[in-house]
Order: sequence, then C-alpha cells, then structure tokens
Amino acid sequence: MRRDLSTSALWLGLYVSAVTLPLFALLPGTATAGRGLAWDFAMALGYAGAAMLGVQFALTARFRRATAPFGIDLVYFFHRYLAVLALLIVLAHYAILRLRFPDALGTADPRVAAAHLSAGRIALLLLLAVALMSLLRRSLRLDYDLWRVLHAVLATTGFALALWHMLGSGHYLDSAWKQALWSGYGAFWLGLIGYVRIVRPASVVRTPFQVVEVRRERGLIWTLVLTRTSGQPLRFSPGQFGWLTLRASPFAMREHPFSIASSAERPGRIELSIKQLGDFTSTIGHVQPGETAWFDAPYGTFGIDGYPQATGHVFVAGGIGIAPIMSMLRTLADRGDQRPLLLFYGNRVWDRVAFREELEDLCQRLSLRVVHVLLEPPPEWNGERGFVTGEVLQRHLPPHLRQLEYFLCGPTPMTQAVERSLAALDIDTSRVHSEIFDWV
Amino acid sequence: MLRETRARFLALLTAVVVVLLAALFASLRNPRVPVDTAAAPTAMSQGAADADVASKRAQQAFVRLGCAACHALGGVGNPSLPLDGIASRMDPTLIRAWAGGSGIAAEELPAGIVRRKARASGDPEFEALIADLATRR
Repeated sequence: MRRDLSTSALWLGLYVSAVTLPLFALLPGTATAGRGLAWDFAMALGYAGAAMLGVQFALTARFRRATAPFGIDLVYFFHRYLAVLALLIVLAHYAILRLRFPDALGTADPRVAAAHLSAGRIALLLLLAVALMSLLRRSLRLDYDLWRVLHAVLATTGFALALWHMLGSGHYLDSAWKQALWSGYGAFWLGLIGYVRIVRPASVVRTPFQVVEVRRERGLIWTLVLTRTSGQPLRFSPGQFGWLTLRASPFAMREHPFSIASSAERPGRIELSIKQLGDFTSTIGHVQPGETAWFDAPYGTFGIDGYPQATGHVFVAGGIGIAPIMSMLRTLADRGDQRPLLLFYGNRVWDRVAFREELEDLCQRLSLRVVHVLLEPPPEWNGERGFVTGEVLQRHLPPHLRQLEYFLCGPTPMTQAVERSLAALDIDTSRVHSEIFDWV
Repeated sequence: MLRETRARFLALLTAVVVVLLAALFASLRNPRVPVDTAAAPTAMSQGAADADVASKRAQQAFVRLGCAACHALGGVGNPSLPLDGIASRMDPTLIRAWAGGSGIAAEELPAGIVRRKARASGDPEFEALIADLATRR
C-alpha cells in the first residue's frame, strides 16, 4: 500500500514536472523583464495549458508501468477530468487577454488576423468541441466508433494548431534553444500520437486471435471464446480487461474495452462475456467461429491477485459486471482456493441471471455463497429483492467483515450505493475495490 | 464512486498546482511590479502625448493596422515589444523600415509578418503613425 502510494506520488510528480518545467525554462535569457503580472500570468497559463493538453496523449497511450499504480480505468478518468481543467486554464489564458489586452488580440477575422492568432482561436474551438463531444456523447447519441475517430482527429489537429500558435507568438522563445525545447516538446507529444495510432496497433496486428466459439448466455449476453493464432497463451490476472477489435483493422480505431471472464489459469482460451447494449455489442451474436479478432490486453489493476494475504473475498456484481468476477471465481476454483467467498449478485429478473447454473457448480468447488438480489422477483421468490442495500449486505456478511477484501463491479449507481453502505459498516476504504464501468 | 472521486481530486489538485506555478512564473518575472502593464511607467512619463490629437490618431491607426498584436504603444496592445521610447533607439528611417517591412526588417522578419507590415504601409494613416513614433523618446 505504502509502495503504491509512493509510486503514485512519483508519477504525479513526474506529471507536474512535465507540465511546468518547460515553462520555467523560459525564465532565463534576454526576455526576463516582466511585462506585467496579468500578461505574464496569462502567458504562463497558455504554455502550461498547452503542456497539459500534450500530456493528455501520454495518459491514453496505455503505458503499463505508468498506469499500474492507479489502474488504467482511473487514468482514463484522470485524462477526462484533467482535459476539462486544462481547457479551463487555456480559456483563462484567452479571457485575461480578451479582458485586459483586447487590442493585442485584434480582430478574429482570419483574413486579416495574424495566422498564429487564428491558429490559437481555431485550436480553442476544436478543443472545446472535443470536450463537449466527450462529456455529452451519450446525450448526443453519438456513435462510439465515430466519436473515437472525431476525438482523435480533432484533438490532434487542435493540439497541433495550439503549438503553431505558441511558436508563432514566440515572445518568450527568444533564443534558439528555447525554440528547440518547445518544438521538441511538441514533437514529442505529436510523436506519442504516432505511437498510439501506428506503433501500438502494429504490435496488436502481429498477434491475432481467432474466434473459436460464440456462446449465448442468459440475459442477452454472448460469450466470445478466443485463442491466439500462434497458440501462445495470454497471461493475465483475473479481473483484468482488454480492447477488442472485430471485423476491422486495429488501425481503424474501432476497439472496445471488455473484461476477461475466463480463468487466468487457462490462458490459452480467453472468454469475453459481452452484453447486447450498443451498436457494436449488438453484432457479437453474428460473429462466426473462425473469424479473426484482435485483443489488446491485459490492462487494469482490479482483481484478487493484488491481495494474496486476504482471509476471504466479498464480490458485489450488477448485471454484466459479473464478467470480471466470473474470471476471479473460475481462477480461484482452478487454483483449489478454499478461502471463504461471498457473492452478492444483483439482476432484474431470475431468467436473465447470467451464469447462475455455473455459479451453483462453483459453490461446490469453492467455499462460495451466492446471494441473488432481484429487482423484479417471481412470486415464489424467497431470496433478497430490490437493490444491494446496506441492509442486504448486513444480513449476509460474516462477523469478520472488516478483514475481507471487497470487489465491486456493475452500474455506477450500484457501485456508489454499495461503497456508501460499506463505509457505513466501518469497512476500511482501502479494502474496497471497484472498476469504473462507464468511461465515455 | 471512490476511485472516480480520487481521479477527480487528483486532477483538481494537479490543476491547482499548475495554476499556482503559473502565478509563481509571473511573479518571478515581475519582482517589483505590484500591478500589471510593464509598459505603463514609460507611457506615464509621456502621458502628455496622449492628450495630443495627432498622437491619438496614430494610436488608433496602431490598433487598426494590427500592430497591437505584437507591440504596445502608450499602454495599449501586447506589452512584449513596447514601442514607447522607440525614437531613442532608432532613427525615423529605421522606424519606417521596421514598421513597413522593408530593408533590414524584410531580411530579419518571417515572410508572413513582412507581408502584413507591407500591407499596413499602404494605409493612409501609416505616415501619421511613423511621425508619431519618431517623437516617442
């Protein structure tokens, strides 16, 4: 835990340094005379905001060592919030200039205005569009694949224009080495885009998978079984996930994140259980065995393997949130683990409870108890009903509940409610682990 | 959600640190200036010129022709390259060359800026602007 915290602090320190050190490199030199607090503050915000936007590309580059201390789902959320804050910082840069130095900005007419100023204005508009599209994608009913392409194209164009604006303004870049530093800095971030869009997909292309089975489960869920064409196993920890590409090239940016549902002890056969929810997931049922698939994995820190000393585990799953938990249960069964396990499994109706027969089998192989919680139970139902509330948890948790590790995966409202209930039961937050489900 | 809250907190903390460091950058560059506009002292020392009608016309031309994007005159425009006191550094011929993008300016400046300066030199108010700059000591 302490090691995790120090590693997290190290990466955060590196982040802040990457954003602000190039700014302070502008201090020495001939242009050291102050131009007024407001002007210099506005300029510093502009440079720092641009650097923050540059680092955004690194956050989603899926570097395993950098994302491991936090979990890649958390890093994507960090990317999302930080992008909004970076944009606010850039907007503050513009607002200070607009309010205090309107004549320096001049006309917005691109036919008359200096090209680097127009580049800055267009960059701001593009980046605003990127942020709004991401925050409102679901409300706008924007297709995920289309959104990803627009996101990548507009963000890259916006950032390139912002670099042009910065280098074109150039008032602080009064020496060749400063220009080289910031040009190199910008080129590095743009190079990262090349890595994300070309180098990494190329490595995914080299290790294709083949669909060997498509199995229908209860609750509009399809299980896709994949094996590597090379026969090489995919080593992963139970609870991890990856990005799946089907019927498209890995270069086409049409990949979707899914948890691995199979046992980590059987790495030669990867199972993904996918619920029919959107455009892409609705096509899974039509996939035929023999088709090629690409799976960029494994990623994520959610799972039991980070807590080998745990005396027992409690799982709380809602709907398709059962997928990574099935991976953990199947793995534990394959390992012959006999620690006490408790699963709270929320669903709407009994007929749609995915894997319920297999869970009964797992109860025989593991020291596992399953508490089904149904929102619309059948008339003869004697089990728990409604949501996984604090009362439901209290009724079933063992007396040593504060010594257990808790793993939650499901819709955000369920996860939030269970986290609150566990906090009310005085369970240490460091023992409660969750997977962020809805990214965009 | 605890992890989402953590991500939000970390992002906010990072942004606050970045804004504070930006403020530190600005204060390091302005150690003895409690308020902004570095060009103000020079402008104030020539405050009488602001009252002059010709000078006001020149300043309006300065803004209209887009000079304010890179320069400040009498506290107006981009303070990075103030033109107050320019006459003490350049003679009128050199001022005209730099303002109109000809001679040495055409050699030293990027082509885009030279083109914009050349366009400005055709403006009817350009001569009034040059004349005003030549008085700014």
